[in-house]
Amino acid sequence: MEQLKSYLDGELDLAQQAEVETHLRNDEELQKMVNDFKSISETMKTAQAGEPYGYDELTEKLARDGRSKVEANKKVWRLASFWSLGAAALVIAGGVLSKGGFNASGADAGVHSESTVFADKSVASTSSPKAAEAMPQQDFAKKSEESPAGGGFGGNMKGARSNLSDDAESRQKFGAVKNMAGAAAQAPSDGEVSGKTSAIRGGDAMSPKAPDTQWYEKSGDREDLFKSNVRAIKDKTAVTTTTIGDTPQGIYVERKGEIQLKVEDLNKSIDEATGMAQNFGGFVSGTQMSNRADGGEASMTLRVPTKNYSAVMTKLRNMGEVVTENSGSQDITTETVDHGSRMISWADEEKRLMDELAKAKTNQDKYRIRRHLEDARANLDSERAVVKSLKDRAEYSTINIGFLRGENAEKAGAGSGNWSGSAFKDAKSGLGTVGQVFGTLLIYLGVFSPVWLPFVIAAFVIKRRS
Amino acid sequence: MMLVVQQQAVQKVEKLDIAQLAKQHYDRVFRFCSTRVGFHHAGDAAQETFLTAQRNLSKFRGESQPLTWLIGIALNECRRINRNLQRSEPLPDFEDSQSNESQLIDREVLRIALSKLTEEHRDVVVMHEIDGLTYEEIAVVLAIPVGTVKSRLYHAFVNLRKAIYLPEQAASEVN
Repeated sequence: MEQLKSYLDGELDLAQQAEVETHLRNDEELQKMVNDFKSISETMKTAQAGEPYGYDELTEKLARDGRSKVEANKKVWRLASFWSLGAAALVIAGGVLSKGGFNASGADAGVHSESTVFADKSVASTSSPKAAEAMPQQDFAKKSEESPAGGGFGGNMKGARSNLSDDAESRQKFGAVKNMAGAAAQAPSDGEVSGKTSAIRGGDAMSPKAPDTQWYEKSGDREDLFKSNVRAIKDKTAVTTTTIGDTPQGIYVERKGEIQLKVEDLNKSIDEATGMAQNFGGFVSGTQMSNRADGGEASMTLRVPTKNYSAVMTKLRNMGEVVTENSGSQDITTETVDHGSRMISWADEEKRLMDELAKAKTNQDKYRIRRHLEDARANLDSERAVVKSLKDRAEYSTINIGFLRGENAEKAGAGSGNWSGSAFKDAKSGLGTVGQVFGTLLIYLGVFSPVWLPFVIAAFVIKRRS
Repeated sequence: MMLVVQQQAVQKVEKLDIAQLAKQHYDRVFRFCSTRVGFHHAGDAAQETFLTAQRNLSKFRGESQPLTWLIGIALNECRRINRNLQRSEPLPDFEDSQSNESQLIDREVLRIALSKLTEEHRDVVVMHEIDGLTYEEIAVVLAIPVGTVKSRLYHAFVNLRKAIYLPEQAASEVN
């Protein structure tokens, strides 16, 4: 009858009460139990707890505890703020350091990429030795010493001297080409070309005479001959081993550039560009201008020494707002060496025919030899012209400039590219930068986690406990 | 609907002021503690109960009455004090009443009977008969179902009755 106590406490519903009361009416023992329960319950209620005390003390404690809780919270947050600031400072310092690191690596990348360009050129020049091998292997220096003393050919003496002079010139050319080919052949093996690359990138404007000086040192017995022949062929078609601009020794590179600029005054810009070309040892090969009230444009073609190409381009960029810019280069070493060797061969042929002519006894033989001699000279002149042209291309770079003013400049600016594509490119670049920054932050946070994580955990635990 | 009620309760709790709670319920909590740790330690127990409540006010979800929540804290505090004092829970003192004297039981006999109850039974009896907690409140404080409270209370009273009115029967059952 577990419901008996609940019945006494009034915890039963009416039906249950009725059921219990039915039992009670019929069961005396149960009635006695109810009475006993009531007595126990009533006696229990007489328990005395005493008069409460300590309420005033409690209110004071509560006020004090509340204040200390606020103080503890402040302390926790102060601590958290301090370490957050410290962590932020670390992260910023890390970011700054990493940015420096990125820049440094970027510079390295630049060097590597530049080296790669020259390495390609070196590879391209490996074909040179083959061309050099195809050339007649003779000691031209020795021949040159012997030839002028030759003579003894009567009426043809003058012509022979002239030819011999050309011959000496040709020998010098061949010697130079041999040297060039040799340099080109050495480049990939001993790293001479790539070794010079860093010096070039360092901004050393190497003297055009430097390779010649090097050549003297390597073959001192040919020095006087070389000097005298250089004087003789100075304004002719000699192919000399030349370091052009920032191009390594023995490498012939033709450089071309295009730049489009927004300027305020077309005439002034043209004058400025002309003066600049002259100052750098170049010249203006063509100018065209169309000037109107609302706008105008002008184009110029500059030929500047290749060694000054980069300096001229830098100056040009400062003349106005750059709209477009393209720079390119072409390695013409193989072509130059090829035509140089042909030229030497025809010079040898000319020499051989001259010897035959001197020895010819019949008019018929002399006539036949002269005819061959004319052909040889024609071919020699042709190859000489090609070599000169190649040399000019290597020594002088071509820069096409476009000046734009007013309406033309606006159109060029608007039409210089797809604006949406440009915006997308910029946004992508920005996103990449942001990603790089966040990545750097995460890396630094991860690496420095042993520093800041314990404090964060401690702050969290303290906060929870408080 | 239930969720709304709970949310309202929580919002109400957020406005609870511990000072106000102390003002309303200090006496009740004091008496509860006095029954369990004795009069001399009751002040400390009651004060510590409210201080603990102040520190844990944000954890009170409003799922029970504030008094029930306070009684639960007080019960733990009293147990902690008794544990520190290395003693079992003292028995309550009963005063000599002048009314209905014939119906009342001898106080010492009752104390002895109470001491013979198991701790589970004694807790329920004291909470209901002395502290005046309802079945539901006891269920919340002890974290047991209301049915268990009813059952424990009935059996506790049966055992008390045997100890008080039928000592021979109780002794034979023990033997």
